Amino acid sequence: MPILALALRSVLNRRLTATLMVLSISLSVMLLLGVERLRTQARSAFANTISGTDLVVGARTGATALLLHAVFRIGYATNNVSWASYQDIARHPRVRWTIPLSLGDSYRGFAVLGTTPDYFRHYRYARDRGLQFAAGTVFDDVYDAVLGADVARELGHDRGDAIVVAHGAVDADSAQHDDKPFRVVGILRRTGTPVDRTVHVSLAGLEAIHLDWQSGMRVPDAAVSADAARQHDLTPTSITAFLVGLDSRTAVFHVQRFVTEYRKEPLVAILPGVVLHELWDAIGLAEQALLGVSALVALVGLGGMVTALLTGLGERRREMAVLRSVGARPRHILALIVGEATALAATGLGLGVALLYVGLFLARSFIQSWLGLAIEIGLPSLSEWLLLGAVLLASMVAGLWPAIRAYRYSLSDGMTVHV
Amino acid sequence: MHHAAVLFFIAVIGLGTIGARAAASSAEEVQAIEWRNLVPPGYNPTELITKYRRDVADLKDDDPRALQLAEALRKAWEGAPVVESLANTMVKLSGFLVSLEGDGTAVSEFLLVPFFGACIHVPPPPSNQIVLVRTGTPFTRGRMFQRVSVTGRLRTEKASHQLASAAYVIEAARVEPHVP
Amino acid sequence: MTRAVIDIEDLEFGWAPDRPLLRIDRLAIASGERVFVHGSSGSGKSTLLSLLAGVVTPQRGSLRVLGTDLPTLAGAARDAFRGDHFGIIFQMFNLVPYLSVLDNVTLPCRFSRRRRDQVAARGNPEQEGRRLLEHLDLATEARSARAVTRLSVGQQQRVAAARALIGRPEIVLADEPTSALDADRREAFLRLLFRECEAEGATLLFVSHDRGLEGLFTRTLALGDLVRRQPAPVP
Repeated sequence: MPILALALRSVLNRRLTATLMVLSISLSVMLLLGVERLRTQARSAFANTISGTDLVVGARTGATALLLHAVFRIGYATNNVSWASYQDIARHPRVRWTIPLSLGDSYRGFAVLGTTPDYFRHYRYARDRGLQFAAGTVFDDVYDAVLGADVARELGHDRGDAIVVAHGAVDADSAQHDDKPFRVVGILRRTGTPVDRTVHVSLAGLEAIHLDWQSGMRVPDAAVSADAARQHDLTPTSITAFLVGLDSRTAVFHVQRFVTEYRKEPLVAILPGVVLHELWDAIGLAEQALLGVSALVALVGLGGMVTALLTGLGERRREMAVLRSVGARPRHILALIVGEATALAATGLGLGVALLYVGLFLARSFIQSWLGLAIEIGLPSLSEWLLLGAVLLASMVAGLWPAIRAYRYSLSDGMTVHV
Repeated sequence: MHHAAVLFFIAVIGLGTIGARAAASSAEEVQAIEWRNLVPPGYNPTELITKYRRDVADLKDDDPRALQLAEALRKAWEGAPVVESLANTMVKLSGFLVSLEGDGTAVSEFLLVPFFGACIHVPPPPSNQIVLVRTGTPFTRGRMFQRVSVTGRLRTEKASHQLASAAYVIEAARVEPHVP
Repeated sequence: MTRAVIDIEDLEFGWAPDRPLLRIDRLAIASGERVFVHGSSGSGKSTLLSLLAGVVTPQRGSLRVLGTDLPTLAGAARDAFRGDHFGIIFQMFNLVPYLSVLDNVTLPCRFSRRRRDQVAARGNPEQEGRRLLEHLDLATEARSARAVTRLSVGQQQRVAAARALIGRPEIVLADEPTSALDADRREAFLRLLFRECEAEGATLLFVSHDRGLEGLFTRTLALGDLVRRQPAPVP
């Protein structure tokens, strides 16, 4: 189509303004698509972290806080669950399995989780996927540890390595449990969840390293050696929270009620799916606002393009007269300007999508190291293609305005253009 | 000429869709049921609650008889019987959605309950008034406790080995927002 | 006898609704003529060209170009007719700045099937464009991809001439094409233009206020003679 070739040459001739217009459109496209992508990806990443768990039980606190801490290792627990209460609830006839969780310590920035071998048997993520070992096996000895995939990879650990756990969430030289190192016996496959960034040890092991600690400090006189600790009763007195699987999902309300009415300790049982749903409902309004702002930015980008085209028309009246003199019809003039607008928008869209992917790759590595969640980066979805198509269509329609003006000018100018 | 062709095309598509729908539904009748249909006749949960409340009002919280009564009520509810005649039939039921599994935007598994807000201040529904729904294609959900209509084959699943209780399940369900 | 390419009768045109600028009783121009059109400023020289090219339509009268009653055609049809049968040279700024010299010359072939077909008999538009440019002493410029805005005015006018001639349009309209040239270049340009018009069999209408060039033409049209004195407005 010869007119499109003209349009392209025309755009290339005004490189500076064209570049600015393309940049502005591409940034707004990147924002529009990026917001939508991160929104759905973040939700999906959170949702994929836990699956098949009917209840999460912890000390009575906010439902969201409990979920975030127990499952996502975000935040702190205000209180614990006593071991006796845990056992009472675990004995409920509708409970099929439980996974106790004990959090609080860390290893070089990674969370340390005390749990039982049931964790590796029953924990599910991303629609019913179980945990798998890349190497080694579950812990058996008191001081055995199983590393999440990222812990092993980032710190270069292998089976047999010794690791020293720090007391508390921050690595401080004074708060190391260096008299009782753990031994790596297993490394898990990648999951794309916070499991990857966790060091798993037995509850007994956690008990052992805290035997001679009081109120967060090691008591020098009452030091217990690693071996001596084995002889102690290493049953924990309390845990942070526990996951529950029932014999039927329809029993979930009954057991939840049972936990709420449990008189010996104030506890709460949450349905992870429900809490996540409510969390997204609450954030939903902010998401809509963000999407609205991005759409406005896209409109501004297009508006800038129309403005540039309109103001450029003044110096192009001569060009229009020349074109009409060689036989260009109205549709040719219209097609020329609309073609320019389309070419600019299409380039902006292409660049915007490219920038989007660059941004997503950067965001992915950041979110992974911060939260342990995996953001998927795939090809544009159908709705994204439709969105891109809508922006392109809008630019063509927007280009009609300067196009019609250009033709009107050429009509009134006739053969003489007073330059 | 062109317009006639377009109209003809639309008419063909329209008739085809109606025909397909008719064919699908005549294959098996979908029965629209209410929540009370899921409760066998003679079982009256409200009666149990009233009896419980009346009996427990005279007792102190830690009186062993209070605990016994609570246990009895719990057993009655958890062991709530199902209507076996409904098993394996295609039904349509509307209720409120409680998310269990999904990807953050769409749910693939949820509980359908008869009332809004199964929160801790109200006794949860008896087990024959809760339906576990697994969707065919994930349902893009709205707010929590959204009102939906579920269509699918109703099954009864043996739930607990100790109690004689069963659960209602609808697999490969088609879920739609409820239209009053 | 050569037939009339342009035939005007009783024509009346004005930019304002009731103030006619041009009134032409009778004007016939035959094929192959080289017509020099002169008149004082504001007498309507350029307006006449606009009318002939079908850019505007007269309020009254008939205007037949190559046998076609031009004002009866719709706007787009007149545009197409112009592209098919006219080559137009402006006083200045003739060229599209973002196209090369050769692309400027071949422009009419993009818009006119007739001219494309005429060129096809001799080769493709690019070859034909180069041939014309060679004849107009622009052989090296034809090959260069330099921006047309870098050319001298004289070179630009000659490129415009090549563009006006490609594809053998029957009529070439030139609106003061030499006004921006140095005096000593004007005659040279004219001679080139004449030679090419004759070679292509085109009729040339040349508007100018420089009567020094008049002698080279076959015919002179003084707009003052063509236009009747305007009668006093009827009260």
